[in-house]
Amino acid sequence: MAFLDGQLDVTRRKAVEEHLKACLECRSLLESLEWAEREVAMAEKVEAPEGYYQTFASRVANRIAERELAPRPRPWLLRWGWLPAAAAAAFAAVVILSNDYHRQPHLFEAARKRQVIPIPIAPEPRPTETVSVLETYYAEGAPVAPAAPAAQPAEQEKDLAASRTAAGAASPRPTADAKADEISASGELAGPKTKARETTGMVDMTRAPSPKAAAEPPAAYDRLAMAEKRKAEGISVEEKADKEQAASPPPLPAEDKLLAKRDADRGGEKKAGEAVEPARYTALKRVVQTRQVAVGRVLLPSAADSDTCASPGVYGVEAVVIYLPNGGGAVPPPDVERAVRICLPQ
Amino acid sequence: MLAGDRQAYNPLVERYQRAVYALARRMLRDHDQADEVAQETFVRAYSSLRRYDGRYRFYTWIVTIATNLCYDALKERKRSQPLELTEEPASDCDPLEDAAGSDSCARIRAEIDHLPPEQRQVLLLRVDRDLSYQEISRALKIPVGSVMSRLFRARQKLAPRIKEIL
Repeated sequence: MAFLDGQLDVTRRKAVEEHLKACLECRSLLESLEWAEREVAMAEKVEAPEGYYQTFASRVANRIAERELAPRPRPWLLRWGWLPAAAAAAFAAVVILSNDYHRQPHLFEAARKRQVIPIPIAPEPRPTETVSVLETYYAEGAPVAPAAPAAQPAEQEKDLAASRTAAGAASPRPTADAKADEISASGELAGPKTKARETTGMVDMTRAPSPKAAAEPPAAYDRLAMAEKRKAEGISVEEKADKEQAASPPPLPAEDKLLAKRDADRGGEKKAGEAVEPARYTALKRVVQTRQVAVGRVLLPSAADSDTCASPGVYGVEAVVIYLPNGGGAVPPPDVERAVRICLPQ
Repeated sequence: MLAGDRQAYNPLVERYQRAVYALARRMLRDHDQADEVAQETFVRAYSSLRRYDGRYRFYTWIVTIATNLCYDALKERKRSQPLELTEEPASDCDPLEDAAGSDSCARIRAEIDHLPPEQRQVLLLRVDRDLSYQEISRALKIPVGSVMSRLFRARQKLAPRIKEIL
């Protein structure tokens, strides 16, 4: 084949020529291939349309000029590279604005470091630390009938009164005792003055304790009652520590003072079933903090009660769990929800 | 020309335009597509002049570009119109040929189109005898031995068939 195409060097070409002189078969094959080559060349002869080649160079030049003038497409990254960055920035802005990170820098830092932020969950309450049904706060100086079923077991009220008495004894405010006496005497749940009931160690959040609560007296009440009893008999150091933990409230924050003043300006009259006012929430919050009540059930406010809500975010409380008597669940009864409205940080 | 002088490029275009057009025409069997490929070949060669390796002939470099563009055109054609190349209508015959000549011409071209693609490529590049084995191997990126063997097998197949036609 190389001989046919003239691709052999001089030495090898001479050798093939010598061979072809002697070999008929190779000579015949060579002739056949040469003939096929000629026929193929004739069949593949290309004729362009008339005048095609005369204008070909100018057409090529025009095409080159068009390519040079046409704007070059920018690389994908330059064209659309800004898009992912813009999307990421927008997403970050939405996350920040929606999650209120500026109020909770520690959350932001943790998120930034991709850390899991543990929700502050208090340990399971030990049986002796069950938070009982809480007291209901009323408007200052205005006795209010309970919204829930008014009839309450007398025994339960006595228990409540006893606990209030015990709690009131631990309170630094002397008026709490007087009110507690009124409760136990009248059988009504008459609320003490706001400022007087700030620290009890236990806050009753229900106007009508649930039947379950009526069945079994809360352990916390027993605990305080026992503590008082022991006091008379000479309490131990440990119980003393327990009481101290439930006692002495921290000083009232400035915001609470303003809210308390607002309460006073409003007159403090409450209707039955009305939500707890911010000042009361302050006390509740303090109780939560001192008693280390775990977070759990989140109570969301209704629009109607928004004016009575205090933002726990201001006070640093995320949520409040309400432990039912006997340490049962974190689902409060409906009357509890009516009694207390807690705004959560948005 | 490497500095971007389009006027200096024209002589190169005029020198190799026939060979490039003929190659594209033989591979694509269509004037319009061949014209498009031929023009595009020179445009791309102009834009890539900086990449031209002066150790080889400019014609070899041009043929490489043209061959690749022909492959792309054939792939595009197959994608849009899944017909065998051999089924292309034999309308590419030179209208100036006589009836018998045009008929045998078309049949020989049809036989060439029936060859395996790799043999057909080498055969068509060798038709004008403008390219050596080394230049064909460079254009198709195959060894010189493969060029020789494919060329031999293509001619060996065609010879008896051409005898039958003629």
